[in-house]
Amino acid sequence: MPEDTDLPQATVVRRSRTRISVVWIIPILAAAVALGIAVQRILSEGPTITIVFKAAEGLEAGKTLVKYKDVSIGQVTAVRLSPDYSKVEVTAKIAKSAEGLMVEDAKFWVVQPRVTLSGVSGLGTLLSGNYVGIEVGKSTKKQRTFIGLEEPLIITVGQPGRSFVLKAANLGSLGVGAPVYYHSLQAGQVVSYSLAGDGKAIELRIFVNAPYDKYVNAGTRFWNASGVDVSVGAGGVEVRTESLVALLAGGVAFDTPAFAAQPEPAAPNTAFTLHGDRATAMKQPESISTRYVLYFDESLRGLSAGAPVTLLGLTAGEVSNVGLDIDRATAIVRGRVEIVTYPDRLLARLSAQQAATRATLARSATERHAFMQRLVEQRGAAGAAPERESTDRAALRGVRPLPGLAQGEDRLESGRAGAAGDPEHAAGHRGQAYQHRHEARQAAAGGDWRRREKGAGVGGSGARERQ
Amino acid sequence: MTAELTAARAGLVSCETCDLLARPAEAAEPGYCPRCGVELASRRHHSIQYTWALVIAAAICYIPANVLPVLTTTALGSADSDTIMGGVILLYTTGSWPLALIVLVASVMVPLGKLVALAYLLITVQRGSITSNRERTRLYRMVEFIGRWSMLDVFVDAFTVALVQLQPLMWVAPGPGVLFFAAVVVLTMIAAESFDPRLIWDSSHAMKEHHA
Repeated sequence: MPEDTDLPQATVVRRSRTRISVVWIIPILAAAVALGIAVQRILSEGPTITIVFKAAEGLEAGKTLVKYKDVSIGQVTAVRLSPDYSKVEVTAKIAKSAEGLMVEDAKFWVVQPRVTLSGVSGLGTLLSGNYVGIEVGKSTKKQRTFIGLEEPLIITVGQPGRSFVLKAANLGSLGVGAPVYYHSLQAGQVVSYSLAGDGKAIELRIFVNAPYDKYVNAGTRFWNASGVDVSVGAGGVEVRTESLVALLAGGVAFDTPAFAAQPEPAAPNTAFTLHGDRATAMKQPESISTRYVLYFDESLRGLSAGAPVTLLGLTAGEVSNVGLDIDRATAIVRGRVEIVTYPDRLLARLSAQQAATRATLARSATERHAFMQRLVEQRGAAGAAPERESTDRAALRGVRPLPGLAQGEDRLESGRAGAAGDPEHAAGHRGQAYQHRHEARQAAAGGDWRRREKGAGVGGSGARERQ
Repeated sequence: MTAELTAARAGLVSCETCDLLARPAEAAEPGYCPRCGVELASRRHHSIQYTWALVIAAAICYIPANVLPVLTTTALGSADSDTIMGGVILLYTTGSWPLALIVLVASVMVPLGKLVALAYLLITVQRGSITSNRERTRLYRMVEFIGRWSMLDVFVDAFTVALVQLQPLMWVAPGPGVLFFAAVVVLTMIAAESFDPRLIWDSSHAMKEHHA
């Protein structure tokens, strides 16, 4: 070994040397970080769910999101056909935080742009692409496979408001999503409709949003607000429609008539009748109705059920049936018109001064009968000897007292009762008094009358008719 | 091959910084370079241990670097997270296979190759292999040279993130994978640096001496 003494001597610094180098901290650190991330990933791993749709409209694996209340809670990881190729199975990975939403009655649907007569929805998806919407259920039972809905849910579970059931004779132009109006404000929507159990009516389920739902009480009336309601009266032509949307897409409106208002809001899922139009819906039920039969010798052309019966041009009742009557003995065929009169309507129009003897009259059903009797005899049957059916007193029990009329000063006596039959009168009867009177005279000339029944409600089906 | 004279065999030590050949203070503790003051070592201290530690750390980081997304592209509201391999596949399927190849080589094969090469060098040195010294040295040089180019991917990522910020229409955000990728690159570079290539031929000398 060569020795080179010219080379400089190195200096010595003593220090202790550890066997295992600190450098091993680096791989340990790296392992710890990687392990930490892995553990975090595994812990944050949410459930994987499968939703079965009829078609995968715009759903893309790795892109389409699952959103709840517009918050992304997961992503579609695979879109494939079901084993029998009839459906599409969409697999989605849901975030751990949203695991609680995946319960038995959760609903899924594809959110995409929808243009309907009642509105445009899902416009945002034009840019972002379709996504899967979810609506939570109330169940707590976990589920991983779901059947997707074809139509988006309109009402979300947490939405404040109440749903009600409307029974209608036919659906008309109403559909799911049709608006529900309250004083022309959109207060809710038609959620679904189905045929009633007996197959004879339609049951519509509507949802009335808060705060409008508190205006729905037991006395509330619902009517179909589709189309236009045109009425011609002395004041001109009145056109009534809820909105242009209702005109095109149909809608339901509700209101509570003052006489029927109840203080307590209706309970959820209360069933109501869906009336054809506002007038029918808001009509005050007649507490006292008196039914008469009129016989006519002349033409009844144009007279139909529902035509008003007027006294001095004021509605006093309506025609309930138009038919024929054959006298077997004489072989005479006559027109037979059943009318229903509502004394309340006329008496409600009396001035306050005439209410003086109301109480007296109200207490006595006999006096009411006598009054109506006199009225009909004097106005309705000029000269003809009226036959009066014996009063059925039992039917009068519990009847709301008829506001009384002071004998002798009864101004109604100057009027005439009559049956007006022209269909055009049905819309408005103001200003038509002359014609009614004329017709009443006509009716009086050849007709005789017969009181059938006087009592509460419409009833009358069991009433006897004495020939 | 003739038995070359090495500083270690001559009982001397060369300074790694200024290449001054010096007599060590003690064989076990050579001391400091009298010219530049750097600690002298006949062979780098714990070179193998250091290199192993760094290679293992890099190998650990290599997994999340490839599993986690490196880039999240949000275009028109839909986010798209891409891993390195996902990007390669995307480039390939969209037709730009040369780009796919570049990314594949630079981002997947090179880091992996460096790890394998370093592990191979370490194992052969530890086992006292005497064959293909030249090739192993060349391999080491290659690993050392290639190291500086491995950050290409990180650069591309950084540039894309900085340039594509058209919020709210489209923007790109870095993913956590890029941090691990950078860690892999840095760790392999340090590992290559801490490996003492002189160890490659030490064992062959020892073998020859033993035979002699």
